[in-house]
Amino acid sequence: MIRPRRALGVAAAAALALLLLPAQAHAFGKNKIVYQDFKWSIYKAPHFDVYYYPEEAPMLEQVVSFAESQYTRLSQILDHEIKFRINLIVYRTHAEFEQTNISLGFIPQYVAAFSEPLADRMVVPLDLPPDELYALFGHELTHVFQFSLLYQESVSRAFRSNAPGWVMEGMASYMAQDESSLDLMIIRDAVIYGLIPPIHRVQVTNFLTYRFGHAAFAFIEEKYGQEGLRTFIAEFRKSLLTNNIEKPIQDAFGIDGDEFDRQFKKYLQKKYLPILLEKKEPQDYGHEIAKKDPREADVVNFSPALSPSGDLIAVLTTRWRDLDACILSARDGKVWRPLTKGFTNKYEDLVYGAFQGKKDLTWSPDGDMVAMFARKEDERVLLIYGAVHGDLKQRVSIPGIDDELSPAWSPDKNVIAFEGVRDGVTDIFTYNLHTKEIKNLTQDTFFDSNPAWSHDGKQVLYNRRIGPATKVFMVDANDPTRKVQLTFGESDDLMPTFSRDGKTVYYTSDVDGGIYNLHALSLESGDIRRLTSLAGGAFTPQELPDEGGKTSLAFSAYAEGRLKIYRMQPGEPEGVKLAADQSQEPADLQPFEPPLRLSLDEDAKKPYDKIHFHLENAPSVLVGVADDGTLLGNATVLLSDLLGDNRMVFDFQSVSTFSNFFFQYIHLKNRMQWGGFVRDYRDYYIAQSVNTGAVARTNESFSTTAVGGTIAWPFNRYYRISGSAGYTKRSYTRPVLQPNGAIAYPTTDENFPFVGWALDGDTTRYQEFGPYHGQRYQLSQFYAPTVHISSGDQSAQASTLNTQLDYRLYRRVTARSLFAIRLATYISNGEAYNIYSTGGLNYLRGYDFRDFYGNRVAYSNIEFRFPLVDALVFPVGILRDIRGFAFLDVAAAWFQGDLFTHPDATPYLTQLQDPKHLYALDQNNNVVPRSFHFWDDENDKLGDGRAAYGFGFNVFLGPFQLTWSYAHQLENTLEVCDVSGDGVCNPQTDIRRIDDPFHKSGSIGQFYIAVDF
Amino acid sequence: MLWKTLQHPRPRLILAVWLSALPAAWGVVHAAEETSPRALMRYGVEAARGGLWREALARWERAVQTDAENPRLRNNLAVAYEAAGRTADAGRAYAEARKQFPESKEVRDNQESFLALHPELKEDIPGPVPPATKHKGKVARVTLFVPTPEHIDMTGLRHVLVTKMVIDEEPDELDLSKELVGVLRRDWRNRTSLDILDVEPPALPEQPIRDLLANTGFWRKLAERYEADLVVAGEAGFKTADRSGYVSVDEVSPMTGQRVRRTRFVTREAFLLDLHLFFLKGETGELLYEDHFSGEHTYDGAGFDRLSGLFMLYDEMAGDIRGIVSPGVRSLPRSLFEE
Repeated sequence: MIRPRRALGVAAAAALALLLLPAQAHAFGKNKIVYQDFKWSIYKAPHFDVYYYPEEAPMLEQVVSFAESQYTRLSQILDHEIKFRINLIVYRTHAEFEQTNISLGFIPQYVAAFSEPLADRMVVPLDLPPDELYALFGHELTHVFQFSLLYQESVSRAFRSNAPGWVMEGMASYMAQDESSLDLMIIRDAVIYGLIPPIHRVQVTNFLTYRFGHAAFAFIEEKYGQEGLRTFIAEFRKSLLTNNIEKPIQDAFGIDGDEFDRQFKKYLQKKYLPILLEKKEPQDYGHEIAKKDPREADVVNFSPALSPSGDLIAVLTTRWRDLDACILSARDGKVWRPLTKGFTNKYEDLVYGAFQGKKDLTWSPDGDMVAMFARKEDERVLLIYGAVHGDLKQRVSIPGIDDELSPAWSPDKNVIAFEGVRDGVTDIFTYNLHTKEIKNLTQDTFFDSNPAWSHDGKQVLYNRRIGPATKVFMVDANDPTRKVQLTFGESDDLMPTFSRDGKTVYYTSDVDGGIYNLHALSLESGDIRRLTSLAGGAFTPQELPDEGGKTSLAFSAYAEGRLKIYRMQPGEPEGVKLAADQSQEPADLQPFEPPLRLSLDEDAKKPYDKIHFHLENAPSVLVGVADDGTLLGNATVLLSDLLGDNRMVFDFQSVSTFSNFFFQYIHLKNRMQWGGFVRDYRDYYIAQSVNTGAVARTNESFSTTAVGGTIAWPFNRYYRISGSAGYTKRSYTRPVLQPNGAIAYPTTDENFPFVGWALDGDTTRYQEFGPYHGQRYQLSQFYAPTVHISSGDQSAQASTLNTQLDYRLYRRVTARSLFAIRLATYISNGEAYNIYSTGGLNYLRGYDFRDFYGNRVAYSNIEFRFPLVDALVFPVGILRDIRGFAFLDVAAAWFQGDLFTHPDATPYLTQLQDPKHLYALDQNNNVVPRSFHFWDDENDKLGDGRAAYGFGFNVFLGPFQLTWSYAHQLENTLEVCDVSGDGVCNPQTDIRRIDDPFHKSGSIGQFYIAVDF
Repeated sequence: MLWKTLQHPRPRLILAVWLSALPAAWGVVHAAEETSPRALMRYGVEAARGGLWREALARWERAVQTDAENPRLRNNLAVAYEAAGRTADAGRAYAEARKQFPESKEVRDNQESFLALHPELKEDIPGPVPPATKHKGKVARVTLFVPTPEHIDMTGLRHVLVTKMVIDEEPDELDLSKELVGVLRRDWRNRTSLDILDVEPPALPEQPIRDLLANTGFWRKLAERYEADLVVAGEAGFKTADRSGYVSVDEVSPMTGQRVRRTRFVTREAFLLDLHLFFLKGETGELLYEDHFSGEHTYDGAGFDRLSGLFMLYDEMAGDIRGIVSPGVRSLPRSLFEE
């Protein structure tokens, strides 16, 4: 039986709604792309299975030596041996590390490495200076020791525990001894400015959690010794599953959490507050270059680069709630030109190294352009912006080099010097913007960074990491063999720049008690003057043009939890180190060496060719009972191989006695992603008797079994195209009104092969309240050319073509307000068409959920979203971030052939003799169908289209967004047939439109739980 | 059909509301040849308006390389040179601009104001001077903060002794010498890099000030005793004067509501400060510089606080007094051509 089009008009609306497909799009999402084809091998080290690829082979010996050295050290300190083999997955660079599928999320540049208790994995990129890499191995291996000590190879313990970040990360940082002078600066500053948190109550995990956690373990060891440290870990392990940190503190130290916090605070104050008395603040040296505007109190500007004129400063900034670059006036800190303008798709992220003591921005020598590196796809590109208009002039890809950072423009404007990695070695390179020639300027095995040109373009200053220290070197720009070491000792001397006369080198150094302060090295005398003596730290010294014969410097300083930009005129130096004193220092520091140096065993190298799946998540098992007593169940299991490239999802659902099953396999190893799926879905059926009101439960309302395959090609992070093909078998019952008034449920079976494709785009950026800026869309088609339909003893063949578009646009207005626009259309063609619905929720407010249906549905929404109340305090708690919105919704649903079905005005529910003449039969006793008119030209108002406007507010309660809306329906008309004469509808003469009698005036309040589109 | 119905005014209104959000969506793209002299000139004006004179100077110097015959550019360049303290360059650029654009009122005003500060650069302008006309294009008015050098060469003069003032006629209820010495020392301490000796100001012998100034031995010994490089002495007078009289005032009549002009008798009091300062070199006792300052302030009513009156008068002349021993800044209006 072919689905009768008119029969749809007489189907019971209440029952029909159960069959409708809600008109909403599939999930959007950005693309994580594996750009490279990693050919993995395994090296069997004593305690590790090291996963590496051929390009990393030269580094394998170092990796094994570092890992085994740290294992030996940590097992002795913690008095613990790990019983399982540790999977160590190494990537040559951070860019390659970001392609890992072990974590499916995007890995930001600030994530150095990670470990996972599942599969006992450590995932580490190798592009760090050797001593820092060694510490990083220690940090991640400490986590593996934690997994072994605390979880004891029990997945259940791992998932049930919720260890505080400060314990896990603080211990890892403390054991790895990975705290640098920059890290100490953060702690010192926090103590000085009274920002110490009550550590035992800290639940969040961010950068400060690492630092304060580290300090807490240092405090424990200082006060209670190594034994105290072990006792605390043992007690913590004992009470791990209670998720109550108070108990191990009490049991280990005999004090409660608050007393622990007090003693910890006092320990930090005793350690750092005396520094405040002997050191100065940046304001003691100069004035801040900042716009005096309290609204910009939370704006952070960093990585300042002075323009050639000295009047402008290019900075990285958080001003527009993204990481951006802009040019400030050096006079008053006002924005002179925005450069990146925020939330652009021209690149993915700006690259910064400011918090590792690196420079990030450079000016062309004529002051016309500013350049910086940004991540785009699998590489870093040099972005060149015009300083006059702030527009992107050029995007330069530098092939063969990874991890590019710290660009420095040559005085002749032709060449960019930068830090980069080639073949696993970090050197200073130059790139000629005209000839595209790449040169290695330093050509050594050391970790080099921070290039800076002399004003004649003949010399380049740079940093070289030697052992645990970073020193200032100078290299002849035309002869890499001519290098001169300018600073000595075991300090970190960073960010060197030449003075304008080329006779002085300014840099920052932690030589004075581990605190970064500005220094000036005279290239003539060799004397070093310490220009500042700050308690926080000073960075990026750059000389301004001469001001009345006096030298001025611009620099950034860390104070009160953030970097700020200052200018100063150096006065009397805080200290002088004569050249004669420096010569007594050893000229050569030794490169870093791990305690154990292991040689490789060729027999221990194996190809990675056998895939073993393991459980990748905590199995989600949910059981519940619905309010009508129906038993509900759900279980999801995710399996993955060790590298995350092959994944399987099993999802089981049960509703009453009906079970649903979904299985999917996804292959993610390459850019082209493919997979297959099997789905079996069943739904049961509820209908209410019109006569008796009794709820009728029939067996199965709908079932579908499908098998298919999918393939997707991401163009970049934001856009992809995908295709699918498969075969579906489905059956459904549909209520049909019988002549005797009863409802029959004939079953229709359909079998069909299908193909489909989709184009997805998603550039949306989020804030804590939801989508903020960008756009998302999905355009898709589904085609089933031969749908075999059978019902009872009848059968037929039909086809269907479904086209869907869901487009959403978000545009920020202020920091917390935005416009959100959605446009969605769903069209199903062919005789075996789908029926969609709309209405209610945030599709069409002011109307009931799924109020309108058809095989054509379109709706659009425009919302202005804004913050309403930041916090409502009740005796029982605080309700935060209540947001408001004003909206205009427009929607329509109709059937092919411009047929309209009114949800309420059906003959099934309305007496034909009703004076409103809402519906009628013709002389042959057939229902006269309503024709669809979106707009009623005659009455100058909406016809069968619907629109509503109003306002509302919402608030998150856990994962649920509770929304209250108040809508006003726009007036519309309804097509009726005037049968007042003969009681029969003559479509040629009796059809007319009247004001919709179902229109509701006044404000219609609704409550719904749905996340903002 | 959907499109057809949208042609109707009402759906167009809905569409308009819908589309009204779109301008926020797309920024305005502007492209210009940013290194053309015209663009550089405009950009320089924008920079100068923001006080970024070095940036402006760099742009105009580049622009003039390709547009050397543009007198408006020369004028702007001259102003930028002036801001940078490059007086000779500014003088040449103004002369060139004036030569190329003799009728420009803006160029003429700029140059004359400049030459008033630097009379040594004044040159005769050959030929008849055409009548000045205002430029019809866009002109930006900016304020130039020009550094002015100190009047005395202060090389080697760091420690400064301020003596008591010689007072003509001691005013009632006010130790004029003490107050003037105090306010002068505080100002110099806060706003100059000089070391103002913190000692009880020495009194001067009672003899005519001119005779005393001629006695170099006295000043030399005084400076020697206090280890001062520079001695500042002065003669001051502070008087009040009755300035009461009839004045015309406009008032709104409470009866008719009309504005009417009335003549009323107003009580007024004026304060007059007269200050003569002498600067003597400690090493030789010779008079290096002398200057005279006077001012008057009139207040409605009688009984305005004398001390406040004195300080307000001093504040008005403080900049000039400070400028004798320390570099200062003068604000000067200038005109820049935007095109």
